[in-house]
Amino acid sequence: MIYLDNAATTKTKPPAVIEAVTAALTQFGDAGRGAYGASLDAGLTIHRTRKAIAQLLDAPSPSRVAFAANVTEALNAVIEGLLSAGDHAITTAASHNSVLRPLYRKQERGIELSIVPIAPDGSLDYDAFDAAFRPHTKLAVVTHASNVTGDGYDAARMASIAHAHGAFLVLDAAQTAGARPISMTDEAIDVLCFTGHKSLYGPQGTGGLCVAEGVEIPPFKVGGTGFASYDHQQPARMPESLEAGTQNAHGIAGLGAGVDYVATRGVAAIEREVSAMTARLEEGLAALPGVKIRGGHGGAFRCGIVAFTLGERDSSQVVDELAQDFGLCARAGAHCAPLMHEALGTVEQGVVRFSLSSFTTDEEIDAALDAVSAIARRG
Amino acid sequence: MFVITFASTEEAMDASDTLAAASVRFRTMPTPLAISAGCGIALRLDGDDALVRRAWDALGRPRSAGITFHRACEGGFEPWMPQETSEDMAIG
Repeated sequence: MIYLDNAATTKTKPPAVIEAVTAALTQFGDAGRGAYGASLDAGLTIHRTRKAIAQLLDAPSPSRVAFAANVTEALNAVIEGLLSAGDHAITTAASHNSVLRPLYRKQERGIELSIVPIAPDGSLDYDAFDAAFRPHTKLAVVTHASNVTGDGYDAARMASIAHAHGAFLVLDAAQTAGARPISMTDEAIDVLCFTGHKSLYGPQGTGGLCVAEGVEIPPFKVGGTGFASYDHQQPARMPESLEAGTQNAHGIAGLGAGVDYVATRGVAAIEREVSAMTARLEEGLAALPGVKIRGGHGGAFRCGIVAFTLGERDSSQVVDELAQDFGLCARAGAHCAPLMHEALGTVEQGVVRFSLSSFTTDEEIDAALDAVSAIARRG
Repeated sequence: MFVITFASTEEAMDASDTLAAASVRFRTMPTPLAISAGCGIALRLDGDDALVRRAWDALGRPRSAGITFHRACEGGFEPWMPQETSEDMAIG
């Protein structure tokens, strides 16, 4: 199997992640519900994973990191919590449905929404982004990097623009947390939403949000927290204000091991390695007959993603042939990012997306190029 | 015997790690019902004032309502705060 769908989820995990989850499954009680060893093991692991994430992403403090089931849940919590009827919100056409759908739902409930277009080359016009703000703009929810093309957008610049208009900047870092260095503090990001199962190499069912000091998000999910049981209200302070119910401690244990892996390897080193392989993959694909690379060079940076079309062929057909004949795993179609495809002009055809991780090898790149070459020759 | 209580589970876990790193001996226990506290997890210190003072220093000399020290006494617990020294006054 050649696995090139890491933008969906990283299939190859560091061994320590698997060991951590296995150990947690045999050892953990329910965090925060008891003062005995098994409960404390879970609680301390969750706490230490918070610390590791806060350090990796340069968040204000561990207590400003709240876990969620995935980045979609984190984004929903932010959008639901921070926007009220009459507010205005901004996003871009690079956004994933995890941003678009909550915003559309809020629009049905009385917010105003502006969507800043993306150019066919994947680039964002920051002047247009600036021009989208209105006096009642509450927040801009933007993707850090497109899950379709890998084009990345300047978070610090967008934060600066948002703050100049008195609005918050919420960053969907699904494709970038762990893939490139991020500093919430230096880049002045108000809320950073992350997923655990992509470039942080944790299990599915993990993710969360890092919230800057001074940004208070009313919870959309309330319930048990293991303390203050007689209070009718959810505790007001993070992280527990945004963590009702039993946490996925088994998954968070794995996430902690994944974050340790990334921190030990070095995010910048991972980014360099993946960038080099991405460039080689793209160069090889671009030389093949009928292959058209889509986006990837319009952003402020680029993630380990290459999107392409092959002639006029349905991307689903291409991906099916890659899987059946060559054992190559990739994604086709719209990638839950409909507006990006409108920008690229690929709504009907979709794109084939290859996405790399720190475990992708040169041999896999070579095999992918051979596979696409063979399919391209078939016509 | 002394007990430290917390406003949240996260605070209790953070304190556990901090005290362990400072080699302050403690054990966790359910928060005694005699103490009104937010978090159900408390840290117990079996020792004298010197030990508790070390714990207090390690936790950053808390004075807010979140991290609270209690001394066991007849009938329950009473709040504990170290006696102010001239050093504390200078720092504070």
